Amino acid sequence: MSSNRAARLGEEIWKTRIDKVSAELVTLTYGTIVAQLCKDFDNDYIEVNKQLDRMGYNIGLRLIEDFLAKSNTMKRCSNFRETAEMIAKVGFKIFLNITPMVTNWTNDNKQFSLVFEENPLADFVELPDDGRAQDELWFSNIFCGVLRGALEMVQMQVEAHFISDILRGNDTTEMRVSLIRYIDDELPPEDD
Amino acid sequence: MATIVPSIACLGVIGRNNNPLHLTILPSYNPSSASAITSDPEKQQQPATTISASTTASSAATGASPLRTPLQFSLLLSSTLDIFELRARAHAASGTGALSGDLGLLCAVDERLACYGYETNTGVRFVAVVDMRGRLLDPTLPSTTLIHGAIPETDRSSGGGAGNTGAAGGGAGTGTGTTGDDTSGLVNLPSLPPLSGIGILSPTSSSTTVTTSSSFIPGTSSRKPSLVASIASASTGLRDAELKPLFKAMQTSWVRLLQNPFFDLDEHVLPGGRGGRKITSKKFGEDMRRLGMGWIPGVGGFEGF
Repeated sequence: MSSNRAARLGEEIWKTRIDKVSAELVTLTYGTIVAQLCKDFDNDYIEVNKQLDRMGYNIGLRLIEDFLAKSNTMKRCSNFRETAEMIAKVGFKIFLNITPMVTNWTNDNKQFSLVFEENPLADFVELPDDGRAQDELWFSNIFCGVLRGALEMVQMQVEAHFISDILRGNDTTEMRVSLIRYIDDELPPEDD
Repeated sequence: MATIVPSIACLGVIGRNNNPLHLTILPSYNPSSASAITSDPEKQQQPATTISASTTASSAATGASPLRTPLQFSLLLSSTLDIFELRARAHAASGTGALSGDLGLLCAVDERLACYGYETNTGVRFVAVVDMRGRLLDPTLPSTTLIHGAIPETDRSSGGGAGNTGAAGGGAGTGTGTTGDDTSGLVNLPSLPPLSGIGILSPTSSSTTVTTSSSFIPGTSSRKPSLVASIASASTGLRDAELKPLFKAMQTSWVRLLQNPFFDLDEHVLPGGRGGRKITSKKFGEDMRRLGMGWIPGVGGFEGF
């Protein structure tokens, strides 16, 4: 599916089939979760990143069903590039109404970057000024988990992590996604 | 020719427990130091709470420096607390119930400084200390190069050119000596020293001033603070409504601060909280500085607020 068609599809689903919710609700809820995690783990930001990733993973496992139902695409993506387009132009579009830019492909087409020009999760956020949060906390790390969980359900094992964040003072918010392998449909062991 | 118009000397945010949350002190135009800028190290040494180094440098070059020390401004803010409380009590007594929010002029300190206030229903108070002769508007310069100091270009849309701001100053109706005398006859006040150096170039300014001051007095001559209010507004013609965009913008900035999940309410505004901490957010401080620098009487809203 070409990039344009994906964009059109995302736009159409967003307009017709999606229930909208207040952006503040999302922003404040997510912000509270992260802040509470930071408190609960005594500002162990590495651990907070892990927890966010795990929460995202659990969301992703469920969200993919919703995504497939709403996007009405019965066809599998034929390659990883197509998958990337679908994630950016349909997935992020229908759930968050943003379209991150897909860029920085490696030559083997197995790694790309999602560059977020806007990020509803991080509106109004300023990281704590304790000298460590700026270096350790990935505020929007839940996204990584969501992608990992969702793609795992469609037989793709990926690894995702942020490499820069505007909240930390970087110029862009960029997430690196790399395909590890396609998971073959394995038969349950007892069927052997 | 240049015109001197009011500017913000200091912006303060006070919590509901009368705890100071934030203080931004801004430089004022100072005619004496403008002519002899280079030497006066003592004046420049006054630490300006949230003024960035670049601003202090540029303001030194243009002869602008804070009118008072941070301690004096802090005391000034403290003294407004009583007035806030008096107003609240007056509101409660008159049965109007909820606060009106915008409290207008709180007190006139001297012929240059006046405090204006705004209180939200949660008890957070914003105070703007206005310097009635704080800024030199030079119509020959583009509006972004006001003598007041470096104003980021993003503060104002480019439409607010020099001619525009000059007209706005006329709308503000900076009072002349004669109008001041008229009003002092009305309310029988000790005569104020005429504000030398304040004058509007536009020939229509005097009529504007008359309507401004006369419309102001009847509504506010009932209480004692309002008496002071009519003095200041009669002598300067700064209407409460002209501070409104500023307070609205300050409130917007405050709301944004509250939406930051890492901003700990407990340390600042909660009644039973640990309290006593000042706001450390850089963004909020920067916002306050930008608003204070960008405010020109009569010129509407702020971009992005």
